[in-house]
Amino acid sequence: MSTQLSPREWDALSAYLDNQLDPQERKRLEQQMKARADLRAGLEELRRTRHVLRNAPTLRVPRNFTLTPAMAGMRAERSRLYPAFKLAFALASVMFVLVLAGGLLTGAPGGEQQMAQAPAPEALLEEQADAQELPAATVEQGEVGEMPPDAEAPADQPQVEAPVPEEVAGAEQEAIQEDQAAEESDERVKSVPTEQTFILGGGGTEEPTTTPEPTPLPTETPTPVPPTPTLISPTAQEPLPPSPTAQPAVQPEQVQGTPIPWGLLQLVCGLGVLVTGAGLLYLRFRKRSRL
Amino acid sequence: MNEDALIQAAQRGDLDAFNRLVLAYQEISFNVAYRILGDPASAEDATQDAFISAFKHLKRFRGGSFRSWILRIVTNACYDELRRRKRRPTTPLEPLNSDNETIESPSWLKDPGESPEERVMRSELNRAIQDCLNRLSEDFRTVVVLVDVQGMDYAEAAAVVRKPLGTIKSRLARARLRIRDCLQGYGELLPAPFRLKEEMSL
Repeated sequence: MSTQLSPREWDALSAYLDNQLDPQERKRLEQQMKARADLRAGLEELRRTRHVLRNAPTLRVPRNFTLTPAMAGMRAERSRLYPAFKLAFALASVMFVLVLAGGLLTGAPGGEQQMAQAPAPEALLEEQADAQELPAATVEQGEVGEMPPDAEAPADQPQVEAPVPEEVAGAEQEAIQEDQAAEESDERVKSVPTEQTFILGGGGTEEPTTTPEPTPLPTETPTPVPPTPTLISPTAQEPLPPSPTAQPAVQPEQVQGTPIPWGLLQLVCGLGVLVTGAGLLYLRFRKRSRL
Repeated sequence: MNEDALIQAAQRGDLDAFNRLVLAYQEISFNVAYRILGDPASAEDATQDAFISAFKHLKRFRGGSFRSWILRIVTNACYDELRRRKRRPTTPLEPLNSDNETIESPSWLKDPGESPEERVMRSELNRAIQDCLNRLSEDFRTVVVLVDVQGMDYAEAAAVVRKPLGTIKSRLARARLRIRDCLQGYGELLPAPFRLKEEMSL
């Protein structure tokens, strides 16, 4: 019987079965098996046992064991910044609305006008002037002598009759001539907004000296000095240095509003940028956290 | 994408790459766990725990056989479960028939392609094998599951259990002997092709 075999012989038979013996041991065992029936029987028992085990049914997996981000511990790591950006977005949104509403309530028309017009490009201003049929636009487009007679004439306004130095008037003429040359090239006009501003300002000061027709030009000059409570002053009619902030299309009643201080404007713009950035980060992290 | 690329991507935190590795190794992992633990529910938990642990410690994998590395984690998870059972013995909620015997043909073992006779034979063989495996100690059981049930060579089994090759040889020989004795006790309860005594009498 194979049960008489020693543990060492069983080990050798088991390793022989799996072809795990070195050539010397293998040869020696094969020689022993030729002479001993119990070794052959023991090897056969092990072979049958291994056959049974190798035919053990393979189970199907009851489900997939793939990991979700939560199982992998990735969700907490990703959502670490999510609440911070969510809070920042909410706070920035509230502050933005409050500041914007406060600005509208306190410095309502003027501030709104400034906010709308300050960064506006030249081309946009021209379109606005055309759409609103502003006198400034007619002055610009009609050049000299084409001023429409029915243009609104604030003749009774004192700033129109303010004295203008002749040197200034001469300078204005030169400016107009330069403007005529500049008008021939649309690109130049659009690329150098200060020229047009200069023309508009100069036209306003020129009108009282050449024709009695009033022009709205005095109302156009105040924007370079936002804190000025009344935009009517003798200095306002002087030819101003080229300034990108000089705006042509301004309704007289709108100009009288209190403009928003530059710091407040910066605050509103900064909050706008902050709200946009925080919102984008919020959406990004929210999307990640849903993975 | 080959396995090495998937492993490297997974080590960088790519969960999709790791899940592709999971799909490749989940069957052998689950079967090893089932043969060591003896019931599919515990094997399911151990397999899932092993894959979670593998992903968290994936950076510790320094190359070599990824299958051996995964199966080592699976066997460790199984040992943890066995230790828990020893501390808190429980009664398994196996379905019972009218004779108060456990039903050994759960749904996960059904093959729609096999006949009722084949299913019974497979069920009987599976029951006998699992019963004999359960009688072995954990160390012997693991080795015989890896080498004889899963068909690994000695070197890979040694890598899984982190034991020398000589230990694998001796454990396997002793485990085979005990299983032989156990299977002989089943006698005619085993399907005819697997009856050791009849085979030996031929």
